[in-house]
Amino acid sequence: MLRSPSDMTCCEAAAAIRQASVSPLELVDSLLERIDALDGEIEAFCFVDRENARRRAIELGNEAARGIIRGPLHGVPFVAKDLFYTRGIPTEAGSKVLKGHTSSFDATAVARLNQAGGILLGKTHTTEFAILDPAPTRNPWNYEHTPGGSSSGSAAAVAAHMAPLALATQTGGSTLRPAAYCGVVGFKPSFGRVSLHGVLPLTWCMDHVGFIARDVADVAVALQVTAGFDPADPASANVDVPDFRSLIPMAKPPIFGRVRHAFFDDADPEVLMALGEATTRLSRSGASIRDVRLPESFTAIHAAQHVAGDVETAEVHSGLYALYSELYRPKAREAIEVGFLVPAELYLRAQRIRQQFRSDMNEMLEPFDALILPTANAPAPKHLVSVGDWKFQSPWSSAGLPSISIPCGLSSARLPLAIQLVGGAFSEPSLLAAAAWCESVLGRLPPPPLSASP
Amino acid sequence: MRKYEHGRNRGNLSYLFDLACVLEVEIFFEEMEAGGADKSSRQLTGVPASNLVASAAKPDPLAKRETLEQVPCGAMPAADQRLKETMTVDDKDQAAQLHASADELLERMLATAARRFGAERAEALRPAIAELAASAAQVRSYRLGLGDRPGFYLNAKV
Repeated sequence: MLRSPSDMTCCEAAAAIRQASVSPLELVDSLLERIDALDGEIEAFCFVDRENARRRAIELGNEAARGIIRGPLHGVPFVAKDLFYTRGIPTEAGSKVLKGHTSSFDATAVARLNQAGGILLGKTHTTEFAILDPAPTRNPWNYEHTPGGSSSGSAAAVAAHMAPLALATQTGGSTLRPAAYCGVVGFKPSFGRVSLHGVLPLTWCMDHVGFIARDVADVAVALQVTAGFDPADPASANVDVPDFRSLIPMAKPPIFGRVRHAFFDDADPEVLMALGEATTRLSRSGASIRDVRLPESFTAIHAAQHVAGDVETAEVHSGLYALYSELYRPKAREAIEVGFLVPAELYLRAQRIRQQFRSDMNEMLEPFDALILPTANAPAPKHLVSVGDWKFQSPWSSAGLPSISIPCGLSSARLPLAIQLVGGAFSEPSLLAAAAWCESVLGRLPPPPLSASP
Repeated sequence: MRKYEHGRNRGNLSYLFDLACVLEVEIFFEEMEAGGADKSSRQLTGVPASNLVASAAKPDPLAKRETLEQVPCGAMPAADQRLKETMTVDDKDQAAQLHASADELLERMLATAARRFGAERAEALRPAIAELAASAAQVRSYRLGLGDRPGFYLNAKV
């Protein structure tokens, strides 16, 4: 049976466009059809940029026909979380405070995907300002469950084959957790690797651009075209951009450090069983897996992130909050208000703990390709009132380390489960190679059982 | 002051010690291993000036995981109970200190909230403030060295 173009991954679609076996317009139309059929219930999108996407698809299709290829994503559609500025179309961050706000420029990440030939298909729902008040989005695997958050729409759109690639963000666990809950790949590179210029901040020190796609190769391509120093972002790292796929496929199986203590007491037995099964399969295929202990500074990292994060969120919002406090939803308002109350020396101490943890982790990770642990403590919770527990993802965000989530199976309730790999700072080539290796051993999940397939 | 900051002039250790006692801050000592000019072999320790001698040889009970991970405070009775069941005597002293620290921060933050947002709103925020105060107390109790004067890794190479 012929697959619908909407089922293609980014790399498959880009290759098909280069070989003229599918046109960008066919691809866009196939995704729009899918959105029309499904998004009434899933609600991943807050804005579908139908006309512009079709117009650009025609333009890129004409270029491809003449042999002009702008970049690795020529003709490939993507979506962006509604925190990313997009010129001419609204960026509202899921909030009444920004109702009707349209920016005059594209976020650097959006601009770079466009330069690589990408087609912005629309904007996806986020929790309000990436804080905790949930988006309306449902989990494509089961509409009664949360897709996770804050990048709720990005994960759901990719999982439901309404887009092959999504821009997301992560400050705690906002890219990897929704990706895990929705059965897709979520990847957050090192702090500073991808510019945050034009991305509405949640904090100054822990925000990251993230990517959600259906396989590791796709998030690697997305990183390749978006990475690199950007003078417009003061936190952008002035480091070389290597070939992120240079180590794929790996010359020899990866070496993993396995974490089985600390926050593991909070994990659902099914999650631990899935991790056990996954590590057994990985080691049977040649991976070396050694138990490791997290450094002492781990014991204070959640507290440090809580303190530093709330203070910075309060500072980020202080101007808007002074004018529109009553328009904020309850959890956002609460997070902002309590952030104003922290004594300054404890904020600074929290920052030093984060720095300590980062340096301890980099040292600990030295002998390994990556740390391996579950992405989340449980599958997607059954409700839409919260977006799940961030504890398993947030320490690595706090330390600015790259992390990636790949699906590893389904729970007894047929919800996706995932493993998480964490690498040292700026170790993306080896982290992505290890993830691709795991993906090849663990296989892919089938798509979610959605009835509305066209 | 600058000449001391830059290390051109040495300060007097006993003066530093008196100063630290008055300011209730910690003094940090660099312990160089024999012949260890190597940065990686350098160790930094910090101890409160007021009990420098007494605590120098004692392991730090605050560094114990149980104490740090389960910060008891008014808003978390269940965690408090679990903690009591599993603690050693030493842990209990430290946990009590942490408890007091969290409660003190909670009161201080509630007072600030009342001034800033009014008494009613402050009361509504109490659970969130209590959680944050527990985190802040944990941050306050965590012992840090001076490290390599880490910044916030803007443009940082590793």
